[in-house]
Amino acid sequence: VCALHEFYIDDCDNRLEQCLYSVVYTSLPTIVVGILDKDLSRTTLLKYPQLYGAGQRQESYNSKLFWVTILDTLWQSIAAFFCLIAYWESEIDGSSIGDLWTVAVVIMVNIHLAMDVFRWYWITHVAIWGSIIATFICVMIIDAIPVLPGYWAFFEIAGTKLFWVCLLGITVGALLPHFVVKVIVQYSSPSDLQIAREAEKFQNSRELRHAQIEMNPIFDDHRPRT
Amino acid sequence: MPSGDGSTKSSTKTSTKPKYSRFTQQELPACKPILTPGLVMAAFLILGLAFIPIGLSHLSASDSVVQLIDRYDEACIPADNSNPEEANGKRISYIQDDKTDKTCTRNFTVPQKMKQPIFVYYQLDEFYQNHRRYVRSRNDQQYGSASAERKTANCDPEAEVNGNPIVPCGLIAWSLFNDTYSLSRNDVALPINKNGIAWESDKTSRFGSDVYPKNFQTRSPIGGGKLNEKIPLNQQEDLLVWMRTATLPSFRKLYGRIETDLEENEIIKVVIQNNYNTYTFSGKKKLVISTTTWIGGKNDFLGRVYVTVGGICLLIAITYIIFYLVKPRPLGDPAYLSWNKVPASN
Repeated sequence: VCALHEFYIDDCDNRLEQCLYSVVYTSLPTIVVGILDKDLSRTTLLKYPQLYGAGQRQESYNSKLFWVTILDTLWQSIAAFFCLIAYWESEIDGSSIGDLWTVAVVIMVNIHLAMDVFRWYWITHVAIWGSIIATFICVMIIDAIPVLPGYWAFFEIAGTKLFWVCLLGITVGALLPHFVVKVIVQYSSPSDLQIAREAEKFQNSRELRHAQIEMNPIFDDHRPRT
Repeated sequence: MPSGDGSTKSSTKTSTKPKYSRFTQQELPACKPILTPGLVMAAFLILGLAFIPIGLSHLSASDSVVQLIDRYDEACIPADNSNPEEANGKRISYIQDDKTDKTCTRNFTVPQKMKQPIFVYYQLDEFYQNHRRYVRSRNDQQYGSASAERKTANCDPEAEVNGNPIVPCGLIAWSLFNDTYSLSRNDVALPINKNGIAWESDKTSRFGSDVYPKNFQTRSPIGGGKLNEKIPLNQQEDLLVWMRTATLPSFRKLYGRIETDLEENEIIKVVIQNNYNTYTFSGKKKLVISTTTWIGGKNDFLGRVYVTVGGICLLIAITYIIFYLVKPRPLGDPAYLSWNKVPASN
């Protein structure tokens, strides 16, 4: 999504926005989720060690999934871009549509990530929703500087109902295919990890949350000595 | 025995085991949502039931917009029966000549009652205000204050003339649209309110009240309209509207507002001063008179998209419910794990 957005970001946003996009708006949630998220608890994994097989078989990161993801993000970019048709033959100016796209893309990307998060810690909430809020704040700050060409564009356009209708339309329209495929696959051909997660939540009422499982060092060595 | 020594050593050696904390062991309290069939059905139903009414309301608003569009650039220039190249050459020299009379009269019939405020726009097609070099050809510092007069960076080739700065500098200002329209109804003039057509923020904070046009459009080629040198920039609303560069090659800009109702079948006469040269690049000029609604002008794209997405969501919800009733999968059932499903084979 980021790469395709760069294509048409040029006239509508200044270079500051382009840097901010990659660094501030979208890096933090990815980092936080990458570090903290985990799909299964240790008790489940110890009970069904075969679950590790999913990683060995590269079920979550393989070539087919990669290209499917590329197609999905291509669709998301198309959905965001073609909201221009809603502004066809209107008075819209470059800076306003740039603001709409910036905000739409950040929301889209974060909700896309949110759909796939397994565990919501408070830090995850802060990173994801905080990024969206930070984007709005940054856009408002940038549009409050009189010497920049986009001065006041965000406030003018956010005062129109069409802006919010477009924003909602882009977010839902762009993410709908992803959500639908996710739902269908999870129901009809669930992965082992998915079943294990459901079992964790619905079938085990007593889960050992805080037990630390000691890995004892091995002192006796049964190998024959030569 | 090694083990005996080992155990003595391990009791005095400091442990290298990492300090336990809930963060490092990923045991912070967490919400672990799972997409249950109930949640999925609810999500699609809500989306479908929310989107369809929004879409329908959008479509009905778009339908209720009454607009009159008149393309006048072809009609308002003397016809010529010579070959196309010569004819175009003649049209260009006609439009560039100061002395030709460019008055043109057009008539419309109002198709339906139009309630005030009615907006008068000029629409340009094939005009790329979003061209990269054009968009950057401005200097907002110069427009903002008289002391920054000499700041003409980025404005080339419309930056200076004979060593004196052009105010306002840049190609955007240089290409200012300058057709004028005066409307009348039954020979009674219909006043167009040209106040408040620019953004308030432009008038108060962006363009200075002490900045006056200087050296503007003084040399050939002339790109557009001239400016009154006695009026400061922040009151030149046509300029302010023009300086907000449009995103698309087919765009409208506000010319003014009509503040009386127009009744059905009334005949409106428009006297146009066809000054602006779009003939060199085969652009089109149109006069648009339109009412507006909460969605803006007439555009049913979003309405259709919303209705379609809402419909798809409802369809999926129904399909999912049927699927769930016909072939239910109990959640978390270990029988579905891949090693349990595959029959043991040797």
